[in-house]
This record gives sequence, structure tokens and C-alpha cells, in this order.
Amino acid sequence: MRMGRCGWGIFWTVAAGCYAAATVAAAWHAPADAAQGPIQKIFYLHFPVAISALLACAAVFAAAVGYLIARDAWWDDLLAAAAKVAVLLCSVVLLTGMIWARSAWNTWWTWSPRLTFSLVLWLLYVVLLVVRASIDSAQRRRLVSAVYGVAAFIDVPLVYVSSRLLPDIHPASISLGAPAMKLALGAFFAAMLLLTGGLIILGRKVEYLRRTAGSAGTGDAQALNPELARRTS
Amino acid sequence: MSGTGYAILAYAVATVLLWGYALRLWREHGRFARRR
Repeated sequence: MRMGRCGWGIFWTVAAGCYAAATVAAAWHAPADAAQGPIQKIFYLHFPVAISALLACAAVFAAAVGYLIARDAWWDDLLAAAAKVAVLLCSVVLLTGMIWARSAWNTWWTWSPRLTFSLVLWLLYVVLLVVRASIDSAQRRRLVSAVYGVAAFIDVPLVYVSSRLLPDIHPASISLGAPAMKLALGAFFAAMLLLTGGLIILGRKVEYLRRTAGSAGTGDAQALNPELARRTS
Repeated sequence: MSGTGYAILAYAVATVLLWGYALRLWREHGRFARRR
């Protein structure tokens, strides 16, 4: 499906409306948690962003496998877009978690298994972007990124199971009593899935446009012929 | 800072980062689309 500027405008309006509605539901509709008070409301945002970050990492993995099988630049564009979104979402997860920890644990950071594996995950995808930027040859960059993208995914299940299998101060799960709490969490899940999907799809398009516009001499031809651009390394 | 203050800070940081990146991407997409 192709979306023009107008289509993307409508999409971002819907996503922003969903995000705003979720924020209102979390801030005013959901009651304050009896044990934690207002800082528990960070969880409505933190948890969906964390799941979205893992999905973005899974998208990098899928794109890496797709490139290794098809050797098509389309997959590399997807890998680059998903890796940037993974870094962004991991950054938001770490920052919101640190703010919550400062209030709940009276410290910004502690080396618990979940937090450590999350920081490693962020570092892995930052390094992926740095490595991509440092390789000039397009063919080599795509191959190295794909192999690295597959290897980096190993940390994703570790993040997920760490607080369940190892002694960890990070909560493994949180129970939500009131229906308004579940509504706020569900609204943020919807908003974050829309936002994550939109950022990856639009990001892939921008990566493709940047690649084809940046090819000296053949740029215009590639921009006019997407199939040519996909096949040209 | 109170618990409400930390909650507002967390939402502000997340909103600026997430939507700042979305806006930047959308503008970049528009710039490439106009060039074509």
C-alpha cells in the first residue's frame, strides 16, 4: 500500500489523537495506585514502549534475515529504519524507567539483570548504527548489518526473561485492579503500536529515498524507477 | 520532586523524544517527496 503526504498526515493525526487520549486516560481517568501513588502512572507508558522496543528489535532481526536470503536493498532500508526506531524506543524505556526508579527506589540506576540487559540492548543497536555509518561500501555495509542484526537479537529474549529467571528488583509483572487502569494501558498499547509501525514504515521509505537520491548519476533514474533502485547496490 | 512531578517529567521526556522523531521523519519525507 502506498501512502502520500496526505495519507501520512491522516495517519499521524490518528496516532497523535490515540496517544493524547491514552495520556488523558492515564493522567485523569485511571485512579492512583494505592501502594505507589502517582509514579505508578509511568508504567502505562513505560511498558507499551518497552514491548514496542522489543518489536522494533524483532523487525531488525526479520529484515536482517530477509536481506541474507534475498540480498535485496529493500530489506536493508527496513533494517536501518527499524534499528533507529529500536534505539529511540530503548532510550525512552531507559529514561522513563530511570525517572520511575529515582522516585520508587531513590536511585536513578541499579545494575539489576533487567536494567543491565536493557542497557546492553540499547548499546547493541547504537553500535549497529555506528557500524553502518562507518562502512563506505554499500554491499559490505548491508551484509555486516544483516549478520549483526541477527546476532544482536540474542539479547531480546534475555531482556524478557531476566527478571523472571534471575533475582531482580525490577517488577516481573504488575497487576492492574481497576478497569480504568487496564483502559489506560490498552490505549497506550494501541498508540505505541501505531507509532512504532508508522515510524518503521515511513523510516524505510525515507531510507529508500535517501539512498536513491544519494546515488550520483543514477539517482534520478532510480528515483523514477523503484525496481531499478532496489536491484542496484 | 513529588511523585506527580516525576510522572510528568517521564511523560514529557517520552513525548518529546517520540513525537520529535516522528516530526523529523515526516519533514524529511516531505523534503524528498518535493525534490522528486
